[in-house]
Amino acid sequence: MRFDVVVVGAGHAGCEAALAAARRGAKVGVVTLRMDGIAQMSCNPAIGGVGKSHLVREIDALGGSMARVADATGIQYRRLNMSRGPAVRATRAQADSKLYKLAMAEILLNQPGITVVADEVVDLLTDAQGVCGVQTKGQGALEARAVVITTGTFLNGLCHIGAEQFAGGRVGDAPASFLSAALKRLGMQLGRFKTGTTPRLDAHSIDWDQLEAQHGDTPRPSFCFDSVANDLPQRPCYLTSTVLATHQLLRDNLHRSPLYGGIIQGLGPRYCPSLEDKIVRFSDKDRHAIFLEPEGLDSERIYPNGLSTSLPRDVQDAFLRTIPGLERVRVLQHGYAVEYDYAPPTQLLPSLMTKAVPGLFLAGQINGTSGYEEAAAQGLMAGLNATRWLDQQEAAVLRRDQAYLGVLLDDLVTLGVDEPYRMFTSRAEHRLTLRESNAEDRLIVVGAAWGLVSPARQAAAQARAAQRKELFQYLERTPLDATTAARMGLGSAVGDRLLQIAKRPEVNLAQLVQGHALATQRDIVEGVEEEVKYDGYIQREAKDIARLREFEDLKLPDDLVYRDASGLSRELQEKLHRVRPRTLGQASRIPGMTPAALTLLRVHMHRFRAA
Amino acid sequence: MTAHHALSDTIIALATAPGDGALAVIRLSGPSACRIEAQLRGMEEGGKVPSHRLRRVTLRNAAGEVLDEAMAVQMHGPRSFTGEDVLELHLHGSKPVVQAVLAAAVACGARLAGPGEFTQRAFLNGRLDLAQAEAVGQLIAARSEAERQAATAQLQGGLSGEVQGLLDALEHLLSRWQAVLDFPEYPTGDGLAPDHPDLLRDIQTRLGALRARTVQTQRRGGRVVLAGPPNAGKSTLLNALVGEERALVDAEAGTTRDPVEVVLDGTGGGSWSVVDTAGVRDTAASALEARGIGMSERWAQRADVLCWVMPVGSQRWPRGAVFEAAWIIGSKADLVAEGDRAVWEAAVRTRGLRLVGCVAAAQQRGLTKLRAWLDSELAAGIPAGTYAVRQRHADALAQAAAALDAALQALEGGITLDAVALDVRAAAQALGAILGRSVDAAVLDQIFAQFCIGK
Repeated sequence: MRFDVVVVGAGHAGCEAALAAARRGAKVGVVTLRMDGIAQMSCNPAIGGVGKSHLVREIDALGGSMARVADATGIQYRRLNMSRGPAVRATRAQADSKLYKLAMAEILLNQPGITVVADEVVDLLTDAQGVCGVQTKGQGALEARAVVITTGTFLNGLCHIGAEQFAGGRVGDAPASFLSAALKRLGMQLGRFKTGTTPRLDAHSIDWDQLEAQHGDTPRPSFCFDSVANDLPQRPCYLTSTVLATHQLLRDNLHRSPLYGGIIQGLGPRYCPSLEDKIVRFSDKDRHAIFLEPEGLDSERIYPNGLSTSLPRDVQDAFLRTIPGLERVRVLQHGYAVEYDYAPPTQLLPSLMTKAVPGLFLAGQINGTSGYEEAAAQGLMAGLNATRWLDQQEAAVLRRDQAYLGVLLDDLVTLGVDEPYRMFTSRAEHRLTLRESNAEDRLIVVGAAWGLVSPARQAAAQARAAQRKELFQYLERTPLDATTAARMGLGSAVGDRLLQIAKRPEVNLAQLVQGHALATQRDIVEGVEEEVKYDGYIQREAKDIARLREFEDLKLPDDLVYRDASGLSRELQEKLHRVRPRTLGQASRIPGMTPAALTLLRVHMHRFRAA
Repeated sequence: MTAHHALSDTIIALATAPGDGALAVIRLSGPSACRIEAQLRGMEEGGKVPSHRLRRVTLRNAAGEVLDEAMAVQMHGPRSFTGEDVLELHLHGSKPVVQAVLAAAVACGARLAGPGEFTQRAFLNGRLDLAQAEAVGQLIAARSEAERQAATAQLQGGLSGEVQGLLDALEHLLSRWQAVLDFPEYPTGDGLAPDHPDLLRDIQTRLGALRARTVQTQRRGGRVVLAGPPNAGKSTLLNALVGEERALVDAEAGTTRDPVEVVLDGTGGGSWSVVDTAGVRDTAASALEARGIGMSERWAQRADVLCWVMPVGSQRWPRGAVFEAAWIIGSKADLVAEGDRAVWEAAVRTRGLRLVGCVAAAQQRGLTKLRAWLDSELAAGIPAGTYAVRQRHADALAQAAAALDAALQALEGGITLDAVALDVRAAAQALGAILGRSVDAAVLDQIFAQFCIGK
């Protein structure tokens, strides 16, 4: 079979990669081990959270599908950090994981140009020009000039439950061992990370009555800028916590943990510690919160958020039963840790193409990231760039001041990772510019130019932008009337322009413009309010960005030789050689780079060009 | 993130070596060079005037105070050595004047140039050939290394400890805030605690006090003034101390009319300036010389260490309250016999004057002892606990202070925590830049050490 692009894996990265490529008209083959493994949520059944929901909205603005699917299949939605400011406001949803998979599979299968193949990739095929396809177990060679690998935790995956070990990228699934060997043969270096997941509990065995419910927000928040139909009943999560007896049991059995027994070598993320870790590192705490999250409306599986563990099965059973509400709990699947190979991402260009093999792209957890959202974001960019590479177009790269997606990819390829990478708002230097609310404004035009966004979608975005403008202009020209002033206790401000009044931190814009046709449009009001109230900060960031743009716009030649850059230390020469920065801005972020070194680099570049 | 230089802004630097003498040249290069001249002259608008013409200008600061009567020349790009618009200001060579003009220009938007940056621009604009460019790399590398070493030397001792203390306090606050901003689903506390505004104010006060102590040291500068009768050998002594021909020396009495200020490297790590003055005598030969004498008295009053230089054996004693308080240095000791020198030294003491010693500057005799004495005198003049800092560090401290002010203002104005945290982060990053430390990584480490986060 012959394709333009072959995507290996159909997880969150693989789906977005295939869809982005196909939307640009490419003929795409997606290889997945199991058809029912498409868009599986291997860990908790939730999308979003701070930093992550920013990515989801950006994916949406670039024509991706994650936001749409999360909106269609969610069974609880909440907004976070509403009082803490526009930079950190975020959306989080519990999804019905089965419906999520079905909805994503439906989009994938209905997308013209995509063929899904259930098979296992056993080798990568290359020739003098670079990658030329993949070898599968059942269907033989699938030819393609661009291949995107999105194999998640499956590369040499090794699962641990106590002393028990079994090969697999996820419980119940075989690992992808051949691929690791193939990547090594092609000159890629691999590292080892570990992550873990919680036990899954039988909903019927939980004593719900004694637990506190946590409901979603009404009206229902959403990820997608367009409104997406969702008639699903909404479900609460339930709160419980560990108790002293839990901790005692864990401490007594720590020696049986593969983490503390020294069996696991891979490095795990600090923001996703196992329960064993929490007990050891925070020994002063007498309880740890647990959220019981339903995996779906008619699923009996419950995901207990906060209980990631790889202790032996009998210890898991025992400590779970010390937890209030779980006294008679039945475990459907025990928690486990998984070690897997990843490819240190400094081996990638900002397009996510490997430097070693032209046409070979990597996206998702294989690049040392964690999280569905981070994976999907990379998948989209890899799929897009695979087709641009085939069309001999310049790589599509988002800047750090444009999108969290830009921050994510730049961090990966410039700094690399020393633990599984997760997005935080503190990773962005201009986070008041990169708000959830303006993701569409920031990216819709870019997405359209890249051929990812339909004309209808672009028109809808323009209509929303026009509405915001209309509301803003209303604020500019309208003086405060006496009735509104009385209603809001703003007596002394009668006659002042609404715009000036709206700038005050304590003034609620929706109340101020009550009666205006757009006052009930939450997204519009929120977007305008953020821009008005944080204008000073946003302007300041804009200045910073303009200053940095000079560096970001200054491209370094692809064939620049760093090893003879005079004046630069040997160490920096090596780092530059390895990272091969695309712009002077990217070079400036390489650890150890000083202003003087950057100057030397510029001089070197000009000499190189002149020679 | 590393602070780095923008490419299209306007850079400024002192083009003559510090302490070069009567004249100091400040050079600006970049698109705003001509506009900055207009602003320094107190003009609302304006900019380009005919290129390559030397003009007399009065330079003022933002408050309208006259800084100097100077000469200015604009050289419009590409007909300039950098290929950009270049402005040269020829100032009277005193350190306070130079500092004040530099500061005023920076306030107008100029940025202090990094090592080799003028040459770099010249190169990038095609004003240097490849062979010359080869040398540029070496130059920048060497200068930045020298600067790095100087900066490191300066940071030893109490200053880095104090900056570290402030940074720790800011990082502690940031980690509490950022934990709740990035991980609201987990038990990360309340973020902004009731005592945080006070903690922030306390940091602001400590930073302000630290800056006051550094600024003070910079302004004092340790000025040594050499005064004395005409043709007493003051300029020769100055030149001997500096090691090069800096002051104009002439056998005709009254040669030195303008004060000359040079910078010497003191062993205390700071830099000292020496001012040679016009000779003081009762009748000035010309109006110009009279003006020079008046200036000598003003310099004398501003001295940290005032010396009266007179030839050994001469009777031209200091007169007036200002000069009678001076230390006496006997010059031209090689011209008198040993016995006559002892007699003269006794006469100095009899008059109740303070004697430093005798030198023969032209023969380099007595200079080592004099330098050591100057260092100890000047060191005694610096209050304990103050720091001499480089411009770059002073700028970073100022940036940190401005960001902290903004943070407190935002906090008091009811601005949300995400924005306040940005200001505090900016303050921490400015301090981190002094110590070469990455703030974001440190804050993340603290978040994960303090809070149990994760599913």
